[in-house]
Amino acid sequence: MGTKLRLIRTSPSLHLLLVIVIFVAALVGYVAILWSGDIRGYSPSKIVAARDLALLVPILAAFFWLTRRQRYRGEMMLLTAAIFLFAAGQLMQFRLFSDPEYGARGGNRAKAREAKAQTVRLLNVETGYDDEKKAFMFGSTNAVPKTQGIARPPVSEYSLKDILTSVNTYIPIAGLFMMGLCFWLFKSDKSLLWFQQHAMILGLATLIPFALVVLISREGKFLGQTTPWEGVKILFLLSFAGMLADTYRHLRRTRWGLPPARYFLPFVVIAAMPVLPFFELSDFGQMLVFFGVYVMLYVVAVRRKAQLIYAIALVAVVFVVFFGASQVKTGFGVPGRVYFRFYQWVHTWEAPPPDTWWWKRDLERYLQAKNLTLDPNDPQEVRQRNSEAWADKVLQESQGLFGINDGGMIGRGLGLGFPETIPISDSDFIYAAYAEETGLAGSVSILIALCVFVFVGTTISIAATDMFTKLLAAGLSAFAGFQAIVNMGGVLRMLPMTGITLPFVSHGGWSLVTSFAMLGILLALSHRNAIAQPVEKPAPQFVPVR
Amino acid sequence: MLLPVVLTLIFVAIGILLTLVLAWAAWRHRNPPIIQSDAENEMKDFGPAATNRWLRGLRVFFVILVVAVFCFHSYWVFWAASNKDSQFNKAKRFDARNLRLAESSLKGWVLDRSGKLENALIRYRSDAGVITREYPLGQAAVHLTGYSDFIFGAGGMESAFRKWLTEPTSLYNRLSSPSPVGKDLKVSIDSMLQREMFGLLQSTGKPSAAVVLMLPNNEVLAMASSPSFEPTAIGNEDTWRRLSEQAEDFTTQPLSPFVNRALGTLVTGGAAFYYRPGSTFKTFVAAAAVDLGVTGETFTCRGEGFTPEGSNRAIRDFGGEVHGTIGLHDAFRVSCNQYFAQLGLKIGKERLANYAKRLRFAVSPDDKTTRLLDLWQLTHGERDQFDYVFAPPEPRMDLSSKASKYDVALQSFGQGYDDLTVMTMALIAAAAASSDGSFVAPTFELGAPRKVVGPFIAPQSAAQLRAMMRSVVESGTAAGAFAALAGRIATGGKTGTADRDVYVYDRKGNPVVDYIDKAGHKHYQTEGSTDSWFVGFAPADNPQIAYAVLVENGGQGAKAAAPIAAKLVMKAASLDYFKATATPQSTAR
Repeated sequence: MGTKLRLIRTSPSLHLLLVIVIFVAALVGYVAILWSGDIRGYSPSKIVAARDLALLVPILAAFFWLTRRQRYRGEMMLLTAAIFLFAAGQLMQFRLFSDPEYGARGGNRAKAREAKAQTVRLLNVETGYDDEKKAFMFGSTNAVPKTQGIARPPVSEYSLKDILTSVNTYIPIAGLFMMGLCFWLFKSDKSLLWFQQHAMILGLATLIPFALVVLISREGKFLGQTTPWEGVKILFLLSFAGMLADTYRHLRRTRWGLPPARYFLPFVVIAAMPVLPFFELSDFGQMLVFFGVYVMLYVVAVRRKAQLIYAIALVAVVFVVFFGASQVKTGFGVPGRVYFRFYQWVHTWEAPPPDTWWWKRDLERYLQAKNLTLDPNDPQEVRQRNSEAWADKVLQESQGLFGINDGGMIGRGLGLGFPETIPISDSDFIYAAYAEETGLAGSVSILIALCVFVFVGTTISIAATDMFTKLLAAGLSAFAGFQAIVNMGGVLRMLPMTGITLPFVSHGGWSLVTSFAMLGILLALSHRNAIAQPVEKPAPQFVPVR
Repeated sequence: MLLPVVLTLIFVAIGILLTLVLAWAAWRHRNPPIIQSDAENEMKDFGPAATNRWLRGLRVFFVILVVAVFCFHSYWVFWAASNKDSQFNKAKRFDARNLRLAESSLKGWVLDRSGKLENALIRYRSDAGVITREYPLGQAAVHLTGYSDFIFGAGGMESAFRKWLTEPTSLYNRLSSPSPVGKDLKVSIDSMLQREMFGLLQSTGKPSAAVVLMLPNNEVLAMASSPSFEPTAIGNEDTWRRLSEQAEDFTTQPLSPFVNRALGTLVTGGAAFYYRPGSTFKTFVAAAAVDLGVTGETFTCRGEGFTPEGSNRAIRDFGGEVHGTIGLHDAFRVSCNQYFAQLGLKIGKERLANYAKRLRFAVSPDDKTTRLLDLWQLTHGERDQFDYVFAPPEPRMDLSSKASKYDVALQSFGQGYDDLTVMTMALIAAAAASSDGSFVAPTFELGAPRKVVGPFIAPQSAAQLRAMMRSVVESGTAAGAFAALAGRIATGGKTGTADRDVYVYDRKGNPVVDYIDKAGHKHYQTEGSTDSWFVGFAPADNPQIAYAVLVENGGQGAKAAAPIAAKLVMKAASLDYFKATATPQSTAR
């Protein structure tokens, strides 16, 4: 049994097969979407589908580089789970961006929607109406406009050149490259030692450029729509793990369950470092994940039950304060957006009173954007406009939940749902889009793959011999896991909604590259564990003689 | 649709199998071999290996979180929509998916009784490949067809038959397209007659309504109401809001084009208001009298009027006419109020109430009047949805023990507490015109079995009543209006003139406030108005159609309503409705 298991965990050829199976499944999915386009009145681009499937080539290249060149001996399951998540995400993104309505903005959106609807109607006339009706509507049966001709919405066909210049082609390749780079960097003792020794400086050195970038960013985005600070997550984690590996022995000496201040206070500073810039960015999802991971690492390293209880109490207090404060009149310096998120979480479909301090300005903005006037003396009109504005504000969450409900057990079918009605469903809400089209069953495979990722990541951490790699492995896998939970929990109203991506699945440049970099580090740590093991020679087996 | 779903299932199945294999392997390998390191020397409690228990705790914690995600997902899939009144379901009505489904599907066409596409009531039109839903009769039939909109919903048949019209035509269609091609519906309306009738009503320039029923099944051939509006008005949000507000306020409702005056309902759904039938209601009292055998009575019609016992108010005839001492037949022909007041008292409350109940009247103010649910014969569509749009308000009288003789006398000739709809009068005319004298449910269904609600009067009584109604047209109050038909088509009918108080409106269409009482309630100015009525059937020998016409504030029945009725009969004749069945009525005379 042992050898068989070892095979499933680490056999490159078996996992090569699994990766190919993933791509065969993806091929089936792409065919489904191409087919659905005909039914739903849009034309998915075959070239883009081919491009997505061709990403198998760099993946295989990375695979062979890892197993042949680097003689990788660690866990393969982590890589396969990540590739599955990545392929599922690519498929869903292909589905969304094929829909002309999803890509369009403003008035073009309505036009694209109507064009789709008219195409479907024409298709229905073609297949569902008898000759008499066709002749009545179009003069003669021959005059029925061919759906390929007149009514088809402009085909979103890309040329080869578009593909070769598209950033979407290179981001996954960059991700794989980063994975390789991180693997190479973290497999050596030298660099690991260096990172551990310079943990504090590393944290501070990350903070300064990060803070500068944050200051010149606008509305949580930098240079258009990019978030280049995604990568600092790894650096902060490295710094925190390094510091903790140095001092966890001192932190264990507690009195009344409290650690000594001279060791503990620097930790608070280190822990606060990533939080402040993310606070400035209003990226509360990242804050939440950092907070969770830091608390988790601390608790695991220090192993004091009292401190675990303190940590849980702290989380509870934060939640209760915000939960209560979402009803209160002033903000206590906390941005209105936090209150909004908490209120939305609790009362998704109940509009707050129009004069609520964190809501007033959004309401005004909505009325301005829609060119509506509001007579404050007409309570019925105020109520009406207020609930309209609120419905518009929570559109993303409610459309996502309606879609999940529509998806049911097995989904509407790839390409047949309406995930285009969920804003930003390619990144933050990709879970809702996936659930709508593949149902609970499809989502379960995502959940299992995430479980495998975290589970195997923890196995690497357990097998690690020194505290630094142990904490690093635990931190990285927990970071990916918590990020996924915060994302999916936000979609499913389990947690307040935060703008955070689903690792490997969501569309997003820096976030995807960072996820692959994390994967590379985990693979390196697993490789280190494996080569530290004495090579097991299989014991000779004898056939018992009866 | 089918194939991508199958492919999706394959994709999902592979995904689940693959992840399960990985999960199984990860689980079996949950305890990796721990490397014996130099750290042996360290205190056991301090070594890195001691953190492993806590790391396993982290795993358990994460799995719990994932299970929680799964549970929340299951909740939204399986339980969120189960409670109909939940906030989720209320919000889901505004799901952006509904719009996309609605605008890409093709609902069924609504065809008139000819079944010809050019006569369709609701159909699709193609303008250079852009397909839109069209209502060819426009405002002439909007109270029947209704309208439909993605935001404001649907009314009329669009709402009443929605389930049928959106049901996929075939299993293939259901499987092959996410947005179905709905089933067509053929209704009993004759679009030519409908158009003609609306034109006649509209030309009066007054609020008016008419219903034409086809015997013996009481299929609605035409039903129109004026003022009306274009079904496309719903496209303009401001207009629509204004019209809705007008229809919802009871003071401005009497002016609203949303009111289907033939049924006393709103085209958007819900009840509107009643009319007083005036002398056309003598048809009902005469029917009861004939059926009870109270035909030999003679009463005297005097100049000073008839004062019922226990009252100090006299009942007089229109314009102070005096008819002298007359019998039932003549009294009906000349429409003598005093005669019918006395006849009603002679028949008595209980017996009148008995006949009223056969027509499903509420006969006491204690009866809670709602709407006449389950009245219509319906084979397509959903009953609740249909009744919400088309069920008329329950007609009512006051024949309770509290009603005084004066009240009963007034109600005997269609004044006082008589509240009913144009459809009620058309159904009474249809009962009189039917060979068996029974009360038959109206219907839009073509070829549905005849739904007899119950017997009204005996067949012989119906024949007698028809003879009386025929004399009204030949030598009575309607003789002038039907002069053009004399010798060509013999018909029967009854005129009616109903007095009621209506609000006075200013030029903007707002009611004029008379005074505001101490409690702050507004009291509005009212003025007298005389509604013009005519009910009847044609042809007299072998009735094929029965109808009722009302013109608000049209003066005497013979002046406004009867001429419209005469033209309707002519149009019906030209559309060949009177040739159809040649079988003579077995019970005629």
